[in-house]
Amino acid sequence: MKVMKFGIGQPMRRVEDLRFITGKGQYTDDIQPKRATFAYVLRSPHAHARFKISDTAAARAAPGVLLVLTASDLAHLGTIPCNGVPDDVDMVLPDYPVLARDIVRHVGDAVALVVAETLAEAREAAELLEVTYSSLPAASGITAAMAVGAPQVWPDVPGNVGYDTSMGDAVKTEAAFAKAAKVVSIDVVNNRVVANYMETRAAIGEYDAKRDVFTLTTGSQGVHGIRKTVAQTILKIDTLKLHVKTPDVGGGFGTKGFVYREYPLVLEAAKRIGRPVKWVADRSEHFVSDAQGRDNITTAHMALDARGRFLAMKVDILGGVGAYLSAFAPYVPWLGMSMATGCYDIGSFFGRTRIVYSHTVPVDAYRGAGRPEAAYVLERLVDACAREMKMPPEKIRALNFVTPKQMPYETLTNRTYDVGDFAGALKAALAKADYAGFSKRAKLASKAGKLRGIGIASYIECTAWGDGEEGSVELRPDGTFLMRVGTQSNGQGHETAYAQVVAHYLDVPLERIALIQGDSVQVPTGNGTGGSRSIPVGAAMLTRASVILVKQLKDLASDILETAVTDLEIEDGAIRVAGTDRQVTYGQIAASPKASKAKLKATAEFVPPEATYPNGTHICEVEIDPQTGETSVVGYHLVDDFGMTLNPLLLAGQVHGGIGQGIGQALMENTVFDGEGQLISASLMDYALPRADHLPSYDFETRNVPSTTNPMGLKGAGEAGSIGSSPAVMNAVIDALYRGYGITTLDMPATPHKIFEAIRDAGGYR
Amino acid sequence: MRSILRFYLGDTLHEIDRCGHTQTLLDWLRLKQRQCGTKEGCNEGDCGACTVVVGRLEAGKLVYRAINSCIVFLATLDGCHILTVENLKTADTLHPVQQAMVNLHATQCGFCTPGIVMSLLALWLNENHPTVARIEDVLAGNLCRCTGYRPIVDAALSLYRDDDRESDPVLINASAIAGKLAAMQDQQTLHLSDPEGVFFAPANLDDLASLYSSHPEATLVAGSTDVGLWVTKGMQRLNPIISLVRVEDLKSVHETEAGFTFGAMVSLNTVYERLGAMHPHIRELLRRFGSEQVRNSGTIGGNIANGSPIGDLPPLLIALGASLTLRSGQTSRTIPLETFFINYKVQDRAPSEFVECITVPKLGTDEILNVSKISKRFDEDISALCGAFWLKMSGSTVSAARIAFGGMAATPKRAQLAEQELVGHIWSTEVADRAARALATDFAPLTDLRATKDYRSAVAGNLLRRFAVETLEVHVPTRVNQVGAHNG
Ligand SMILES: Cc1cc2nc3c(=O)[nH]c(=O)nc-3n(C[C@H](O)[C@H](O)[C@H](O)COP(=O)(O)OP(=O)(O)OC[C@H]3O[C@@H](n4cnc5c(N)ncnc54)[C@H](O)[C@@H]3O)c2cc1C
Ligand code: FES
Ligand code: FES
Repeated sequence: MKVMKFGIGQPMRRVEDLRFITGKGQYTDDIQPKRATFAYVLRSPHAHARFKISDTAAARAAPGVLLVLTASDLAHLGTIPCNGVPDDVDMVLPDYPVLARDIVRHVGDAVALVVAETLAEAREAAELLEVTYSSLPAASGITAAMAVGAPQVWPDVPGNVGYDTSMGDAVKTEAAFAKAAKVVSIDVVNNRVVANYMETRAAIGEYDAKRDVFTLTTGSQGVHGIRKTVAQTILKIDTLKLHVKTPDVGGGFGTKGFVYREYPLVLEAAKRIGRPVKWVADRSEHFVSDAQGRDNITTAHMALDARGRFLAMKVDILGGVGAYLSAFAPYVPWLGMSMATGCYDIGSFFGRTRIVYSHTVPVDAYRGAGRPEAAYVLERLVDACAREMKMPPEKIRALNFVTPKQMPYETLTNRTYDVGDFAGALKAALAKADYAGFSKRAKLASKAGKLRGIGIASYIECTAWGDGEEGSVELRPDGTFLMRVGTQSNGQGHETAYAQVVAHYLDVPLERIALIQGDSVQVPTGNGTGGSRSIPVGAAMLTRASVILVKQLKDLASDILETAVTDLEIEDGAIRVAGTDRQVTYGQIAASPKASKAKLKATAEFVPPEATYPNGTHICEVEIDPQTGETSVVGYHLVDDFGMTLNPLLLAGQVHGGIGQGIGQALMENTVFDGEGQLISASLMDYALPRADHLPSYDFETRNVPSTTNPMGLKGAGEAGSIGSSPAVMNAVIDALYRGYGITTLDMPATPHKIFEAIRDAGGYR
Repeated sequence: MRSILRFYLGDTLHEIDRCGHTQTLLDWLRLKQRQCGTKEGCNEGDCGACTVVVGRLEAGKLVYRAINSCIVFLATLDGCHILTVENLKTADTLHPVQQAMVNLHATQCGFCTPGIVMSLLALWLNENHPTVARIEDVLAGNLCRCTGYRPIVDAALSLYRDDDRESDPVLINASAIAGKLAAMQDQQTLHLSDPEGVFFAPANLDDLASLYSSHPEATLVAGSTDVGLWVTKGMQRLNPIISLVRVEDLKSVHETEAGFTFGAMVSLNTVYERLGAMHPHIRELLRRFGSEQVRNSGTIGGNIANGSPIGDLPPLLIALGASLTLRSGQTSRTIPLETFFINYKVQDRAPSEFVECITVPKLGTDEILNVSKISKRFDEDISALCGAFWLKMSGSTVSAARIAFGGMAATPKRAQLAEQELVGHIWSTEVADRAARALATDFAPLTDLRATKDYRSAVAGNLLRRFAVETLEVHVPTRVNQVGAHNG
């Protein structure tokens, strides 16, 4: 097929930008239904306390107040379900009620909802609620919760361990360790992070009494999943009685995908007062009401032979889940364990994963969900192995990589990598980063009083597994096209990327192809965005639909032009008789008498048979000022295998953004709870996010090996940047500190203070 | 008195007789005007999603600056020209800044985008060929969680490739707007009231003085980068409010051979420009003060009068030997700045007395200055501690010294014992070490969110030692980013 102007592979500018760049984006808070009322959620100031609401009368009587809801008003509602229990894991699922009953379990736990004519009135009335707390001892974080005699988060979860599961072959692994020439061990903490999308969450609930239909408008990662859970499990109504809409979304990164308490709350409130109810989180609320990310403590060991081959690996993962089980919380650390061996061919493997409750904000999937944690542990471990074996880090990697010849490769964690050339990506990245010239740069830096370090991270991850997408492409009467897809753009640019697929087959400019997403009525089914699935699954589905539509339209054109279908070709937004100027435009086809609705629309489905496995190598170079402990990222090079590139601009955008988050986690982001479970880093002033001068220029290139499990060869690219980056940065930081002071370990975030202390402890200052 | 607030939003004149006396510009735009292009990401000046560009007549000239609309009170924008992202596109043509952002794929989810467009617009209108470092500075007050920033920086750079500012629609319109704003200026005190309170904005110094004398309970508002947060985050009700924003006399800078006199309302960015020219450390301190937006709104008077123990200017100004002029009614008095700070939240300021100006001596050729700000991250962060050191030398002997710290005590404070260790001695690393040790007697710092007391004590001493190294062993690089390590 010839290359279409607007089609697959082209660096098209984005269709949605015109909206965003002029302030016309419509995010949930920009929508103000007529007669809207405003909701305020009263939240717990305690990490763990028994509480009583003795009086609501004063709040109810306050000016402007329309409704006060507490747990006792919500007995008819279901609780928030957890859908992410790994197969074979048997565990208690503690109640996650819509409003806390009797006991609050983390700072920010929702205690009451107040609805008033204005937000200020709702907030003031909330202060009039008489809530008496008698505080209880709190387990603040994984380590505290695992201590002997720690306060219990849930009575039926002794020791706060939610599950304890394993994977791999313990006996074989122990045997391999017993005969190893060398065993290398590391302990790493994967710091808890806060998503901090720039758009905080918001929700608008409406209720149409005549039709008995609820409408929820919220910035989500997919309307259908939320509809199902909120309708069936919480409100206990028919799914079709709930219409969920998602307008533009100001970033999601995983944690905007879950059902949160405020969604059923605004719906319940809207029904009770007969008016729309709007709730918008402020930034401080974001820090305590949205699921957080990462939060693992892991011990890992590698057994090596004398040549540096990896004989066996063991990991022991503690995954913090906070006080309540958010949607996929138990699944995330397990998913990490299932990717623990990464790009390496390891003799045997044994992994153990426990999830741990504590009196802290819930934790759930955040960009990469389990895979960044796995890559971080593994790549730190591999670097430690290289140091102990006195082997160059690139050599020990190359020696142990799964080779293309071994593909398809069955991992010891029951996965099948279909294709991938890990050594090829590493080699290309080393060349890009001028790895060979590093020692010269390090010398120059040291003359200037700086420590320079370089770090490699070779990662593989799994994307786009599980559910499929069914959607459609249709020709509209005006000759434009309409796609209906059940994924959800959170800023990735699906309006553009998807239109490119359709344009590829129908050869029309992107402006003439519209996307409907984020509407559970207009798009009947869908599975949203997450796990880097939108492009590999959505685009594959649209390819199928486009091919079907092309056929249907050619059939119609063949009638109109009275020419055999085989003589027709698509060119410049029309179907023409090949080699002539006889043609019929899409508008004319749509208007032709035989053009029934069915013939103008093609529906297709794509269900991925297996995950796809993007992979690659990141190389980061840093310079540390030993006087202050400040780290600057001075070089960043990476080579990724995404199977196939739909739009290089959008792809680079995803990669850059992901790296930004990884660098943020590695160098500055940190969620700190004090001993009482108070969140200390609860504002943008106290929780450091990367700003423009923290992030380097990236030198990024693809070295694609098409996926065999995706019809277009695509592998998901939304999370890869965040997966390769934090280990690359930390390996570089530790490399610099090792060269300077023999330091071999440091936990994220590598803040100036922490580096300063590490150097001091290593005797680096007089 | 005038009780109608007047300003332009884009091309539209707004005349408002009723508005919440502490309503922010952001709330007014989003809630009252339903112009939702300007976003709220934090409501406390940290994220820049709410950035707008405000044009004001400064000494008769129309100057556009980016500010955070979430912490500025609408009523303080009397006589201004406000531009939001919605005002930039003309007919079918994107503004060059917008076009550059599209071309370079500098937006993803689009939520930070309006604020970023406005920050870059202000840069584009005011500066020729900024460096990458300068662009990053201007963007330090804008968070983006999606793009990794590079495409945004690239978009900014690309604007200057075919530098065609003459045809910029905002600049073409500027002289007409300047005329309109000039026509709106008057000498009447703006007086607005709503059920929650009263707002005054006197137009000159005498009116301010007499107004404050008759309302000594009033809260003065300068740039509102502190006061704005008391309202949006602290939920305080302030009544009445007297805004200083229209008092031209407080905005002047007088330069003599001996030094500068800054009116209380001189913006931090102007201080950056003028004082910064004197010494690179002053430049660095001010570059890292808040963000471009905060420096455009915030004032020198506000930073001093706020009396915060971690305000960034007081240590520097004390070290430089600045004096403060306070005025009440028709009476003024001038005091050494260091005596202004009495205790935590207590200053030497009588009811109805306001800060009129600050006089800062210039550095003599026999004087050495050294300033350090220590914070958790490099920019847009509040100091854990801030140290400023000034020495007068006679030959290699220290003949006078002023050492001032913020973050080490309840107020910005001089380290008198440490100073005594220096005066009369030959300036050396040993002497600096002695002085550093004396700091332990000068200060008993506290542990808080920003740093532990041990960290503060240790670092304070190290800053003094570094001072010695920096002045005595010039070739040792001692500062972050000093050797162009950035993005190398
Ligand atoms: C995001 C952000 C970052 C910041 N970063 C920094 C930083 O890095 N370093 C730092 O030091 N500060 C920082 N600040 C605090 C603040 O910006 C500064 O203190 C600023 O100088 C205050 O000036 P203003 O004009 O905005 O004062 P306002 O908020 O208007 O007033 C501050 C106080 O001073 C009083 N006041 C103002 N003018 C006078 C006068 N002429 N006479 C008497 N009283 C007066 C007011 O009544 C009030 O009590 C930051 C603030 C924000 C929001
Ligand atoms: S909304 Fe974040 S700075 Fe104003
Ligand atoms: S584009 Fe999403 S925050 Fe900047």
